[in-house]
Amino acid sequence: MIDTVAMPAARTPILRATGISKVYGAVRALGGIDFDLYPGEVLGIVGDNGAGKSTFIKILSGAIAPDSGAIEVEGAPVHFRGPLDARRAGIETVFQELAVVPLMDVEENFFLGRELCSPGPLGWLKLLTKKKMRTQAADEIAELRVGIPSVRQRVGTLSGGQRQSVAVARAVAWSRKIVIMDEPTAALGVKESRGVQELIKRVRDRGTAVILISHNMPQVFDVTDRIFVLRHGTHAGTVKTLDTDMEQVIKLITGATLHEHGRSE
Amino acid sequence: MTDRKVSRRDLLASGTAAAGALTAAQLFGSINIARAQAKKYKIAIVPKGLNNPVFKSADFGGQARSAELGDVDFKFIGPATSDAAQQVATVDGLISAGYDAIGISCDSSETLLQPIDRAVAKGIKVITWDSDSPSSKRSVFYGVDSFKGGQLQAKLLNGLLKGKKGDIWLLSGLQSAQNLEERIRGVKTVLSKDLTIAGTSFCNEDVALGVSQVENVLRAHPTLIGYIMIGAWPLFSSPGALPTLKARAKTGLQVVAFDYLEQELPFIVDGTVKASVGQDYWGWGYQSVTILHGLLQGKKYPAFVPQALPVVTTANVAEYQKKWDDSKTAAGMAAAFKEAPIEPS
Amino acid sequence: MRQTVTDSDAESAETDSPAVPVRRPSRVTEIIAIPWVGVLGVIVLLAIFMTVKTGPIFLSPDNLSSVALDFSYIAMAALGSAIVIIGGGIDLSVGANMALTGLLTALAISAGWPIPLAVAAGLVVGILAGALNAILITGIGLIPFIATLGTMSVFRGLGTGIVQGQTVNAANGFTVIGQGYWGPIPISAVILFVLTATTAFLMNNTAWGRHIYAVGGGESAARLCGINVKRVKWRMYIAASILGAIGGIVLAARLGSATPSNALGYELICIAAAVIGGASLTGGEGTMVGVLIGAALLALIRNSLDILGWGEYWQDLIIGAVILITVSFDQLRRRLRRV
Ligand SMILES: Nc1ncnc2c1ncn2[C@@H]1O[C@H](COP(=O)(O)OP(=O)(O)OP(=O)(O)O)[C@@H](O)[C@H]1O
Ligand SMILES: [Mg+2]
Repeated sequence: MIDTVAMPAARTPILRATGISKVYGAVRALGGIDFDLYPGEVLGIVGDNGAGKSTFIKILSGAIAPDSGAIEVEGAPVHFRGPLDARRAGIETVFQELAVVPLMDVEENFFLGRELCSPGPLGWLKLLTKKKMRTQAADEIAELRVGIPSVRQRVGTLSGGQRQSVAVARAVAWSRKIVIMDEPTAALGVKESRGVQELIKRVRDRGTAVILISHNMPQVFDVTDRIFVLRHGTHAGTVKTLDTDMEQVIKLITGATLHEHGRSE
Repeated sequence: MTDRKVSRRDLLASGTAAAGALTAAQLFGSINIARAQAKKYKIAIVPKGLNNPVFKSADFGGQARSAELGDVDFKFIGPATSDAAQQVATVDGLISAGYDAIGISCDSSETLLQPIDRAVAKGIKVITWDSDSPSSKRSVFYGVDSFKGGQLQAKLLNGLLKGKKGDIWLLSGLQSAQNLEERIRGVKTVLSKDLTIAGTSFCNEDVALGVSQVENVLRAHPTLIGYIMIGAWPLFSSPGALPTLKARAKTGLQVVAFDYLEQELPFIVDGTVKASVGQDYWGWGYQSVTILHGLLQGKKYPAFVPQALPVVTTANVAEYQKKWDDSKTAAGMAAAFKEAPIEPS
Repeated sequence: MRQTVTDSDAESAETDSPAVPVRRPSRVTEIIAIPWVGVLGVIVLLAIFMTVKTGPIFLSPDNLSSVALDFSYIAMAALGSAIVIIGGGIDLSVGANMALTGLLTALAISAGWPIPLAVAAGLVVGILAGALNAILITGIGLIPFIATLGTMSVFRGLGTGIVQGQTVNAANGFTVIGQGYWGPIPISAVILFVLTATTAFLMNNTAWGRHIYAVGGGESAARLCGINVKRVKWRMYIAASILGAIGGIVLAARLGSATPSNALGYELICIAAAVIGGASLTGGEGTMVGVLIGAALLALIRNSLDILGWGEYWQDLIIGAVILITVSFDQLRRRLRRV
C-alpha cells in the first residue's frame, strides 16, 4: 500500500492548494486537486500527457484562474490575478512553453517584466539601467553554468536547449520561496540535463522549494523528495521518493493497479 | 437633411418598407384617393462624395427647389468619400428604395453606366449633373461643358501672357476623371503656340499633396511663366501654405484656376490667382431637381443642358465673397445664388 | 529588490563553464543589423541620381526644407503607427484621426479659441480616439485590424458630419506651426525631430518601451512574465493616437485649412514608412529613427518625381516599386543576418 505521505504536522506547507478544478469546454482538465508543498523540499509532479500537470502548475503560478479551489502561501490565503501576483508571493515558474520573447536578447528576457529602473526623481519614467542589467544577467547566468554564448544574443537565435536554459536560469535567479519547473530538461542534452538536476539541488540547498514536472523517471528519482501523481485530472497519489520505485510510480501514472492502492486522499 | 450617411442595408430596408407601403396604398387606393393625390415625388441627388465642400451647395440648391415645388421628397445622399463603387451601391440602394428620380454626379462615367441603365429600366428618371456618363440611358446631362471650361482657362492664360513665350504647368486631380481630362483637352486645343506645357501633376484630389506638388514644381522649374489648375485642390488651403506660388505670382507667374469656392477666393484677392473659371454649384442641386421634377411630369429637355461659366477675377471677387458670406444657410444661399428654374424645351 | 544566487552555491558543481560574456557583435554585423541602413543607402543613391539628372535643385536647402515641411506631419503619424506595429497591432484609423483632430482644431481656431487651447483640444480628441481603439481591442477583444478599420470610418464620418463636408478656414497665427521657419528649418520639422527623439528614447530606454517590444514579440510570454498586456496596449494605442493628432494639427496648420477628406489614405503611407524603416508587421521589431528615414524616403521620391516632371500617370507605380524594392532589400539583409 502506498500512503499519502504526511509531513510533520508542525510544519506549515509553504504552498497549499485545495479543491482545484478546471474545465475546458467538455474537457475536465482538473477535478478537485488537493496539494501541499513543504519548505525546502523538491516535489515531482508526474503523469501522462494531458494528465493536467501544466494546467495545475499554471494555476499555482497565476497564469490561469481555476474554476474553483483555494491557494495558500505559508498558511495565508492568496488570490492570484496574474503571474505577477504569484511572483510577488515568491513563486517563480519555468513554463513548458518557456515564456521567452524570441526577438529579445537574453538580458531582456532575463529581466522581462521586472526591469531594473533607475531610482530617484526620474523613477516614474521607468528609466532602464541597461548596463547594470546586462552585467547582472551575465553574472547570474554564468553562475548557473548553463551554456549561453552571450547575453546580447537574441533568444530566437539560441538552440532549443539554450532557450530552455535561459528560462530555467531566469526562474532560479529570481526565486525566493518556490520554483516551479514544467519539463525544464525536455530539450536538453545529457550534460545539460544533469546540469539542471544539480541546479535544482543547489536551489533546494539554499532553502527554496522546487516543483519539478518531468517525464524522465531517473531524473525525478534523483532529485525529488516526494512524487505527486496526476491521472486524468485527478490526484492518483503521492509517494515518498525513498519509499518507492519506478514501477510503482508508473503503475500510479497508468492506473494499472488502481484497485490495489485505493485512491490517495 | 439629417442622416446623410445611410447604409445600403438601411436603404434596402426602407425600400422594402416603401414597397410594403405601396402595396397598402394600392389596396386602399380606392378608399383613400385624397392621400394618394398628395403623393410626393421621391427625388435623390447623388454627389461623388459627401466630404467634398462643393457638393454642399448642391444640397442647399436641391433643398431650395424642393421647398419651392412642395411635392418633392428630397434626399441628398452619396458615398462619404469619393468612390465609384460606393456610388454604385448608393444608386442601387435608391433603386431598391423606390425613388422616382435620381440625379448623379458620376464618379466614373463607365462604372455608373450600368446602375443608371438599371434605374432607367425600372422607369426611374435619371439625369447626370456636374460629371456625365454619356453612353448611359440618362435623359439629361446638366453641367458645364468641361471641354469649353478648359478652353476658357487657356484663353484667359493666353490673354494674361500675351506676347510672352515660355513654359507652363498643369495641375489636375485624377487621371481617371472624365471631366478633368476634358478640361485638359480643352486647354490644349486653345493654348497659344508660344506656350508649352512642360508637365502635368496629379494630386489625387488631396489638398496637402497638391500644395507640395505646386511648390516642388515651381522650385524645380524657375522659368515657368504660367500655371493652370484644372481644379483648385491646392487652393483649398490658405495663401500662407503656398509661399513659392505667391512669390512667383508677384514676379510674373500667371495662374489660372478653376472654381470660385469660398476657400480659394483669398488667392484671387491677393493676386496670386489672376482668374478662375467657375461653375454653378447651387444650380447643380436647384436645376437638377427642376429638371427631374419636370421629367416626372412629362416635360421634355435637351440631352445636354449647359451651365454658364462665370469668370472670377480681382475685379469681381468681392461680389463672390459676399455671396459666400450670405450662404451659411440654405435660405441664405438661395437668396445669394438665386436663378430662374430651367424651362423645358 | 531581488535575491541573487550567492557564491557559496558555486562549489557544488564543476567549474568548467566560462562566464557569459556581454559580447558585442562585430562592427560589420552591427551595421548590417541596423534596420534602416539599406533605406539610407537608397536615399543616397536617389540624391546622387537627382543631382546628376537635374543639378543642384534637389539638394538645395530650399528644396530640402520644403520636403522636410511636407513629410513632417506624415512622419509624426508614422511614428505612432510604428509604435503600434512594434507592439503587434495595427492602426488603420490614423489618417481619419489626423483629419478629425485637424478639423476640430481648425474649428476651434476659427471660433476664436486661443491657439494653445485649440491645440490642446485637438490633442484631447486624439487621446479619446486612441482610448476608443484601446477599448475595442483590449476590452471587447476585437482584432486591431477590424477595430481600427471601424474607427477609421467613425472618425472620418464624424468629421464629415460635424462640418457637413465643408472646408474650415484656420488661416491665422496658428499656421506658423505648419508654415513657419526657424532660419532654414521648418518649425514642423523641429517638432518632428523632438517627437522622434522623445519616442526613440522612451522605446529604447524605458520599461514602457521595452514592454511594447515584448508584447509585440510574444504576447503570451509577456503575459506570463507578469507584464500587464492590456495596459501596454492602452498605452501604445493612445501614444499612436496622440502622435496622429499632432500630425493632424500640423497638417491643418500647414494648409491653413481643414476638410474632412484631408489625410485620406495616410494610414497606409504611415504603415509603409514604418515597414520601410524596419518595423515588422508581425510585431516586436522596429525603430523610431527607421520610421523617420522611411518617411523621408517616401517624401523624397515624391519630391523627385515632381522635380523631374516624370511619371504623371505612373507616379503611384514608381512609388510602389520603390517600396517593394526597399522592403525586399530589407528581407535580404535579415536573411544575411540570419534572424
Ligand atoms: N487552453 C485549453 N483549452 C482547452 N483545453 C485545454 C487547454 N489547456 C489544456 N487543455 C486540456 O487540458 C488537459 C490537460 O492539459 P495539460 O497541458 O495540463 O496536460 P499535461 O499534463 O501538462 O500534459 P503534457 O505532459 O503533454 O505537457 C488536456 O486534455 C488538454 O487538452
Ligand atoms: Mg504539460
